[in-house]
Parts: sequence; structure tokens; C-alpha cells
Amino acid sequence: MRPVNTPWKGSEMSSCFKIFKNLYRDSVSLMQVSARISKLPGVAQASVAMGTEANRAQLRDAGLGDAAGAGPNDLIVAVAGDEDACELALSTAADLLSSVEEADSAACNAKAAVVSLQAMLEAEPATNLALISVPGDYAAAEAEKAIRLGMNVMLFSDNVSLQQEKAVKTLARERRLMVMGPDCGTAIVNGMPLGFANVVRRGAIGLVAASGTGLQEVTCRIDQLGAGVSQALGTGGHDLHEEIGGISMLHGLDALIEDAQTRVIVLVSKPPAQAVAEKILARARAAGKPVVVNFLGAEPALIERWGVHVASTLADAAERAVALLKDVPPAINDDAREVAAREALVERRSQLAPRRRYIRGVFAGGTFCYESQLICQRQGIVAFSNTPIKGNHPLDNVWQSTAHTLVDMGDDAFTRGRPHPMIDPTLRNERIVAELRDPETAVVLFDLVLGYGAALEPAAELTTLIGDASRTGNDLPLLIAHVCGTDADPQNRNHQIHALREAGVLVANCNAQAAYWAAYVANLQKAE
Amino acid sequence: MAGGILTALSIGYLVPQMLQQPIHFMTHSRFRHAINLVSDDVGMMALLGAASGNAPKAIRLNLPTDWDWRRLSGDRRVTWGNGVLLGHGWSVDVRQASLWSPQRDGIQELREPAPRTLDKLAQVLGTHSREQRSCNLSSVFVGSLSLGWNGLSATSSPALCEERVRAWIGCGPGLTPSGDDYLLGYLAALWPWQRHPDLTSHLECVRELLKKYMCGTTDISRFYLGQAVEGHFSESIHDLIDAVIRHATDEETSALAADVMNHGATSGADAMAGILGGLRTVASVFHRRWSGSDEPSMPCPQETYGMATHEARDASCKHTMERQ
Repeated sequence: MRPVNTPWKGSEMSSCFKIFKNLYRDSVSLMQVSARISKLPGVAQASVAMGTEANRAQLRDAGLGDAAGAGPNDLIVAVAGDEDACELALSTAADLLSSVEEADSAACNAKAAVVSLQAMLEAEPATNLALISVPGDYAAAEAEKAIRLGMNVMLFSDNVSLQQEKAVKTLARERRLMVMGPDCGTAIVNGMPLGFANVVRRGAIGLVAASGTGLQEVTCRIDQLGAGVSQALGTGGHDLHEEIGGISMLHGLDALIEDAQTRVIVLVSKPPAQAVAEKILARARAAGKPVVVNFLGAEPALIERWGVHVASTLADAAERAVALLKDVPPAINDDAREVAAREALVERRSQLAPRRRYIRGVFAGGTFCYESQLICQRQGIVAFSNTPIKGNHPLDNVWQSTAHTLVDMGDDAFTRGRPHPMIDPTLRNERIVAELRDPETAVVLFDLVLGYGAALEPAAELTTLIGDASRTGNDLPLLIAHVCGTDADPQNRNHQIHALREAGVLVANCNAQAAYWAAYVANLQKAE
Repeated sequence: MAGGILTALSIGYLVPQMLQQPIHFMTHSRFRHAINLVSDDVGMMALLGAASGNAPKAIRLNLPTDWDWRRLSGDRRVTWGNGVLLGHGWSVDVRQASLWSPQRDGIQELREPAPRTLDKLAQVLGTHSREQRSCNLSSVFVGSLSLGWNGLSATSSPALCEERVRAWIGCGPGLTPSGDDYLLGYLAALWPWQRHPDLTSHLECVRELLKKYMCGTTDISRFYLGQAVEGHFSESIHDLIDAVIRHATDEETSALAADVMNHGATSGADAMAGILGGLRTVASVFHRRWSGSDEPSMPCPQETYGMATHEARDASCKHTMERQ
């Protein structure tokens, strides 16, 4: 190692480098090392590059020293920053480079990297499902490849046109295969969670859903009620569009009808096109098994006449399915949700200033936002939203709430260039804090979505922020939440609920209950 | 992890002529699912995992899921004879492997690359670039090409070509530096149109410069560039160029571009940038669409290091621009 003192932006900073003779590491490993050391405190610049003449010249020009002793096949690690930080960075790099092999090997033991579908089939000929998550431009072509190779497809990607979706699904139907998606975020197939799925026990209730968080809510509620899930199949949000014709939901429904493990079937979607709904309900009527249908916001009578069981909310769908499975009446009804907590709500609401009149819903789950709007509307509350249901109003500025506002923070406007709030809740938490500070907010209504792929400690940062807000001495609005998940999830639902309650949040059993509570409080404030 | 008898899935079309007689190889470098062998007689040859695409001087193997070449220590010698590669604790029987050879049948006349295809490739490269940037993996070649920059053109003078090639060889991050990957892609794109009167001399110029300066880069990069100057490219690159020639659908072209870009940390994207640059050069001789200036600007080479901070990157770029 050769330390070199180099002036940098007016202050005395060190730069130094280390040459690793004839060291070959793949590019991904080199990038990982570079990223790790560049994030160390006090490191201003870091470079990990092969010692070619061109790279040595670049290092010299960048003030990172003259690694004249390096040859093209040597690896140079060069850093600039505080002297101690540079020393630490070089020793860290040395450790990482020597441990890359072990780290990679561990990963390799878990699962070999596969970069093409054909290669996957060559390695594992029994493979019959491809999970595709690539930018939307490539997604349809990759899905078509998988189908032609005889695989079912879970298409995590979004930004696939209806035309492409129809082509892919038609091809799959011809080959008796299923396409889950596009924009299918969750599924459970033969007990294997895919995407943002939760850890639920296996059982006899099968689901087909055109809504990701809707499917999560129903499966989690089933688990909470002591039953289990045979299969949970996603279709993507556009499947029940007239142009697609519900191809995937029909395939999924048929699969569950044929599946001996499945004794009760649940279908979840926003209201489909009428012709599509009739096709699906006709098939459901002939299923030979009880079918619970939750077409969020659809007129119950129009569904009921097909001889299926109508659920008014996601949680209600789970409760009805479990009741059918156990051959008992449903354990709870919608009215009871509100009454159960009325006393606590009245007591907490009595501390609210009269100017606090509005619900501010901040959701990570798009379907939770949709269902909450429906429930609030049924309670006479017309709201603004970035994804308004019929009868509600679009927000002029999605970053700014007005009157009653319920926002889906997973919508494109908030996730362009950023992770989804289920993965990184930072932006969602900032919005919650902003709503807490608004003197007109009566209730901040929100969700925490747990499961594979979701943030590991979603309540931690949020409760800290709530604590900070409460220490300002100002009165705060009510906080009402629900946690979608199970105790077996990596985040442990019970642990998250406990953290929220410790921070003063009222935690409902399900999204519908949380929305009822919020509407109840808002209506009390309005009456005053 | 135990060694064992490995199954060869396919062999590249240049492998049979390398393995015509018994040979003693040495292990040059080992990665998790790839190993490079080298011999004084036939040069370098790669053994790749099944997940990799085919390459002219490579053998694709079906490796056990827990396989890691780096964990096979000991004797670095590998011998070839009677259809079997024999290493310390492992062997590969290639006699049942299929031969991969690129096909370009049925194309009688080379048309210009479709403008919409170039736009599409720029778009997918731009998307990829933004995603890479979010992981601090952005390369100046990828970012610049997606925005319309082209470093070489058919009208570039030999002196300018030499300046560029000399500056880019061995330049940038990765085991195969970004500049090398870019040049490889550039050459691949030009290759099918090598007989076009406006491209012949430019292609020949770039080839000769690569031969002249490739000694300045890593052994592994030189291995691939050495094949490129003779017109030999990997399956994924070949398939993409073929799709461009056939005027394939946007969906097919995009998917094949993704296959190219999925290679390595930035190598695939840098090669894709080179392909796009090369195709723009080809298009320019048909329509002068991209030629614009005889002296295209240089990208900021420091950025190929993926500097640790934006400030540092900006400072370095500014310095380079001023130096020009």
C-alpha cells in the first residue's frame, strides 16, 4: 500500500491504493466491493478496477495515486478520503475480496443463478412455472418464451399493454397453461409463496384474485381464523377487463374446481366487465363447491342470483369461506366491526379539537385504498384520491391532501424511480407525518403490509416519527391502522401490532374494520 | 462440494478445431460457474455454466447447483484427449454435446437497420441505464449511447479512431473493462455490413487498432476481443444482430437486447451500448442519420469507474471536459 496525500476540495485528504496481483473476480463481485467501501464514513471516492494502462491513467487523473506497479491482470483498489477511512477501506476491500468466494458460495448453494428460461429447463427439466420480473418492454416476449417451453407464468412485471396481455394469455390458454399477471405481485402455489406473499398455513380454501393486496388480506385473514390456503392464484388487475375476458381467472377457477385439496373457492376482484362477470359467475355456479365472491363495490344482488356466496369486504370473504369450510355461520358481520370498538373510539375522539374533521388515508396496498374508499362512501364520506372510485374525486395534486383524502402510495405517481412503499416505506411515512401535522386531520388511516419482500421492520421508523410528532406538544389526530400479515411472517404481525399500539395507534383486525372506525370518527366530528 | 463427471451441453463452433489433438491446459482463472483454461498451443478456452449462452470458444456444462470452480483447489493442470477434459477431481465428456454454430440463413440482402429498432434499443438501454444508476452501476457508455451520443462513425478519421480506441481499451470497471465491452459490441454490429463500400475501411481500421492496442487490457478481455476482430461473437450478441437484420418485432428485439444486457455487472450493457453505436454507424451510411459530426465528442472516461459520490463524478467529468 502506498499512501499519497492529495489536496481535495480545499482540505487535506488522503488517497491510497492497494494492488492485488493476478486477482480475478467477476464484475459483479468487484462492483459489490466498490459499493461497500465507497459507503464507509469518511470515504470520498473509491475505485476497484483492473490495472490496465487506461485505468491507471484515470486513477492518476482522479488524484487516486500512481499504481505504476500494476499490470492489466492485477486488481487495484484505490480510495480517497480521511486517512483513517482510507486505511479501513483498503483493509475492508481486502477482506471482502478474500471472502467473496465464501459469500458467493453460500448464495450459490442456496440457488444457482439462471439467466435464461431455456437454461433453467436444461438444469431442471421438471420446471413448470416461470416467475418473470423484467422491465415491461421485455415482459410479454419472456412470457411467450416460457409458455412455448411449456411453463405456466407468473408475470410480476407491469407496463404490459392489454394487446400483449391478451396475446400471451390466449397462447397460454391454447396450451392449457396459466398466466398470472401482468402486474401480479403475489401468489401461493403448492405452499410456495411467490412475490409479496405471506406465510399462511396450508388448507382447503383456494383463491383466485385480480388484486395483489386483496389476495394477501384474504389469505392472512383465513390464517388468522385458523384455516388454511390450498392455492392462491393472482391474475393481474386487467384480467377481468372486457378485452382480456377473464382468461386467467377462468383458468384458475377451473384449476381449483379440479383440485381435490380445495373445498371452498374465493374469487376477488374489482367489479369486472359485465360480460366477463357473467362468464365467471356461470362457471362458479357449476363448480360443485362453495364459491365466495368479492367483487369489490359490485351490487350484491347481481352476484347473489348466480348462486354463489357474496362477500361485502375482503375480510368478509375470508370469514365466509372459513365458515363454509367449517359448516358454521360467519363469525362476524360488518355492523359488528364498528360497534366492537365504539367505546374506545368515542373516548379517543373526545380529545380531538373540533377543527379536526377529515380522514387522511395513506395506503401501501392499492386494494386497501380502494376498499376503504368504498366503506367510507357507504358511511356518507365522499373523498379525494389519486385512484378515486366512482363518486369520489381525483386529487389535483397527489402530494397534497384536501378534505377527506385517501391515497394509494403504491400508485405510479409515487413509485416512479422509487421502491414500492411495501418495500421502502420512507415516502409513505413522510406522508403520514405530513397528515399528522395538518390541523384539519381527524384520523390518519394506514396499513402495514407484511410478508416476503416487504420491509422487515415497517413499524419501527413510523413509530419513531409518531413519537417525535407527539413530543411537539400539539394535539394529534387519531391514528388507525391495520396490519396485513401473519405471526409467521418474517416481520411477525403480533410484534408489529404491539409496536403500533405502544405508539398510540388503534389497530383494527382488518382493513375494512379500520375504514369503518375512521368513518365513524369522522362522522362524529362532522356532527359536532 | 465434491468434484465429479460433468455433462457438456454444447460446444462452440471454434472448439473442435482447438481440440484436434491431445492438449495440456492450465487453469487461468476460476469463477463460481466459469473457468478459463489456457494453453500455449491453442490459447484460451472457457467452460461455462448452463445458464450462460453459447460462445465460439466455450463449452457449456450442466453443473450441479452447488458447484463452485473456486473451491476446487490443487493441481491447475487440465488435459484433453479422447473426447474428455480431465482436471483435478473433475472431468468433462464432450462427445455427446451438441455443436453450437450461428446461423444466418435466408438473408439475401442486408438492409439498413430499421430506425424504429434503433430507437427501441436506445429506449431499452436508457431504461437499463436508469436502473443501473440506481445501483451505482451506470457506465458512461451506456448512459451516453442511450442519449444519442456516438463515439465513432464511418466518417471518423483514422487518427480519431486511434485516439478513441486507444483511450477506451482497458478503460473502466469490471474484469472486462467497459471500453473493451463497448468496442466488442461496436465491432459486432458493423460486422454483417463489412462489405458495404462505406463501411469496409472503417471496420478494417477499428479491427487493426484493436489488434494493436488489445495488449493493454486483461487476458480475459483480450480473449474475447481477439475473437471479435475475427468476427466471432457470443450467441446472445449474434442473435440480437440477427434480429436487427431481419427487422424482427420490437418485442423480440427487446427481449434479445435484455439477454445481452444481462451479462455480468455492466459488461452486457456496455456491449449493448457498443452494438447500438455500431448500428448507428451502419444507419448513418444509409441515411447519414447519426453521423452529424466527423469528430464525435468523447464521453467522460472517469465515470466508467462508477465513482463513489456524485460530487466526485461531476468534478472528474468537468476536469476531463476541460482537458479536451
